[in-house]
This record gives sequence, C-alpha cells and structure tokens, in this order.
Amino acid sequence: MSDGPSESVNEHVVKASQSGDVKPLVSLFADDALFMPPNDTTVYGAEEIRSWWEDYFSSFSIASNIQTERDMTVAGNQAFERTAFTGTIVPKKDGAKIVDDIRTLIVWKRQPDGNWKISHFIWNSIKPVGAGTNRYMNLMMQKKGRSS
Amino acid sequence: MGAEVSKKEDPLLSYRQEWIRAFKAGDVDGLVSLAADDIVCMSPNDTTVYGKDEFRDWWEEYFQYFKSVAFAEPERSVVIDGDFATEHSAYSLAIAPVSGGGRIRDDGRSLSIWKRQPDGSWKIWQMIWNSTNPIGSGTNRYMSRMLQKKVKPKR
Repeated sequence: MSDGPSESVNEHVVKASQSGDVKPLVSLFADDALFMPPNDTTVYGAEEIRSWWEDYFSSFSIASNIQTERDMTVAGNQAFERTAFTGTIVPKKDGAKIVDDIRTLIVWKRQPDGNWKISHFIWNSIKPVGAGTNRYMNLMMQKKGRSS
Repeated sequence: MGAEVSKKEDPLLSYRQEWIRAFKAGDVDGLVSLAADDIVCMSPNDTTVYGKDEFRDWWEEYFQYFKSVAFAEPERSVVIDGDFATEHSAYSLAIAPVSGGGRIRDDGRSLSIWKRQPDGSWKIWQMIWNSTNPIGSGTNRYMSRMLQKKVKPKR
C-alpha cells in the first residue's frame, strides 16, 4: 500500500468544511473525474465537482467523519478504495446534527507524474430512505429547484 | 496506464449484456455466476453484502418482491488496467412489485470493479449504485418498504 494513494478524502472533506476552502479537496480529483452523489445527477470533471462542494458547504458543515472500514487495493496504475464511515453533518440553517452511515467506492488513477487522482467517486447510505443525510440532501435539491 | 476502451474492444461488454439479461429475467444463478467469490456489494439503503453466498441471498430476496419490466443503459464507460476493470453505467429501469401494483421507475448509476480470473473470465469484485432521483421516488422508496417488511412477498 505504500505505493498507493496516501490522501484521505474524508479528512479533506472535514478540513474543507472547516476552512471553507475546497481547493485542496478538489485537487484530489482528475480533470475528467466522474462524481456520483446519491439523489443528484452525475457531476463531470473537477470544475463541476468544485461547484458541487461549494454548494454543499453553503448548506452543511461536517462535524465529523469517523471511518469504520477501509480497503485499498492497488493494481498497476489504478487503486480501488472502499470505505465505510459514520458522518455527522450540521445544516447551516437549523444546526441540528444529522448522523448517517455511508459507503464510498473510489477509483484512483496514477498520473504521469506519479501522483494519484480520483477518476470515479460514488457513495450511498446504509440507512433507510428518509433517514440520515440524504433526507437533507433532498431538501437542498428542492430548494435549488433540482429535484425533478 | 489504463484508458477508456471503445465498445468494439470492450472485453466486458458480453458480461454486462449477460448481467442485464439475468436481471431482466430474474435469473439469480445468472447474476451470481458473474460475481467473484469475494464480491462486496453495496446497495443503497441496505447493509453491505460480503461474498457470493450473501450476494445470492440478496438477489433471491429481491426477486421475491420485484420483477424487472424494462432496463436501458444510456451511458456506460469502461477502463481496463491489467486484471482490473472499472465500469461505470448510467441506467433507467422499471420494476413491478410481484405482489401487484404499478410500475416503479428509477434512474441511477452503478460503479463496478471487475477482476480477471485465472481462467481469463471477468467477475464483479466490488459494486455500488445509487439513484439520481429525489428521495422518496424511484425504486428506493420500495426498497425501503421491503427492508421494513411492509410489502409481503408472493411465494
């Protein structure tokens, strides 16, 4: 694993939430990355991913992301990372904490300069529909008129 | 370095077609035949499924409740690097509850990591999917009911 990606997306998400600076987080993604958040359309490329996170952090802050499982397999110039974590987010509107249990599947691709960038990123929730963070994601989408 | 492959040179295409056929037919054996022994499957709003046996149980339960009505895949990309392949798919589907009721439509994405086996065949090693539709619509509304055992299976 010493040869694989060393950055933790979860840590970057928490830091970006705290600092308001999404650049270090977005720098993990390849220019042509596919980003697939639940209950939202697919986001294509680093620029759209930056906008997505800026949107997200305008509505939520991340209180904690506690990783409960991580499996990293490096195979040639690809690396496959599967994580599970319990995330706590706080809507900026009302401040009530929301806890969710989430899995991610991340594909990293080694770049010509040797650095690793994310080429594919998808996640979903273990919790029943209507519970956890996705309930609030839905409200966010409706607010933005993106619910259809 | 792995690169996206064209449809013509895509060694996973026939496997994907078999997956779609098996899903549409409710053919659990067909789906399971495409899974690696150590498959990890992460369906939305449900706990993670580890290994082929649990994978079989999951699909057997699924088809107790639902049957496929339609499946289309408007977008798909494959990246192959050595013995691993990353397959992204965007799909639209319709399923119907076995116990009766109207069709349920959903749109989603799946990400599957395939692993080449010693015999040269490809098997799904890790997979996850989610819906692009709002919460409370699409199939996940019914999946949730299934998990809560509010829909009685027809045996």
